[in-house]
Amino acid sequence: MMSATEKIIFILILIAGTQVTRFAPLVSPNIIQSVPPQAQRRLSLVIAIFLVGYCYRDVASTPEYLLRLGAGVMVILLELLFSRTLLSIFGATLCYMLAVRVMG
Amino acid sequence: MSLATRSLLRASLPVAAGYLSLGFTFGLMFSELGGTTLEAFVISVLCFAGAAQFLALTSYSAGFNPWTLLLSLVILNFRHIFYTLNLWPAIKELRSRFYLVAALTDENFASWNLHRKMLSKAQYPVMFGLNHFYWIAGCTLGSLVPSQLLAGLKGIDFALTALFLVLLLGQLRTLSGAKS
Repeated sequence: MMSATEKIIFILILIAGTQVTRFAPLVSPNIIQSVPPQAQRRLSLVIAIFLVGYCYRDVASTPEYLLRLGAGVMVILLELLFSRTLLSIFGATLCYMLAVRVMG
Repeated sequence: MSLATRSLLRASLPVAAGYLSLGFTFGLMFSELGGTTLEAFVISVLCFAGAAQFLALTSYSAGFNPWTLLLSLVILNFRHIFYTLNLWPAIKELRSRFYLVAALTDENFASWNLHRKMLSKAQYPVMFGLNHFYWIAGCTLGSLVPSQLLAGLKGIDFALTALFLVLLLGQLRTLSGAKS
């Protein structure tokens, strides 16, 4: 259980970690504008790969890892077939929840 | 209701569907971890960042490392820098400019990009505020769901992985589109 102080620190970090990136260009616009657009796009891709890797970091240690991998494949297939973000996210999540319940 | 307001409301419907459902999922997961409705409300008002809020859930436990959380958030939100660079020239004379920057999510940036030709500059804060309201409503309502109902929601945390996978596919599409 988190203490009240920990909760306050958690919320402050969450706000700071988000807003600092939104306001950073107003503080030092020249440095950031010097990054070429192609590099900006590649950086965004690296960040997205990092996030997916973060979610699957302990996948092999959980009993449902095969289901998580399968649900991940389902997200990709749904997105490639229909390009509907909500359908991809909630369709695969719903199937994963059902599978966890049936298998567990 | 004026025609402009009606068209603004209509234009915000896709974001409403996304923010209400994703926000609700965040609220559910947050309350499952022991978060209160007040906390969910404050976070959704002052942070207002879908992926970052979901990522932060993985640290919401006693003894969390604040530096790891801060670093993860900055890495995740790095793309916002480029959004601000694009948006700022169009809003720097508006009184609401700091609110617009503070509320610059992926969806708000995409909506602004899509509708900026049909909107007057005075309508930018209305559009951003409307989307912000959907997010706050989703997060707050989700956190109000009684914990007894959450037992049947095992596996809902996969929504976070799914969100990031969709984000990755979007980035791959952008990159391949830029090359061709």
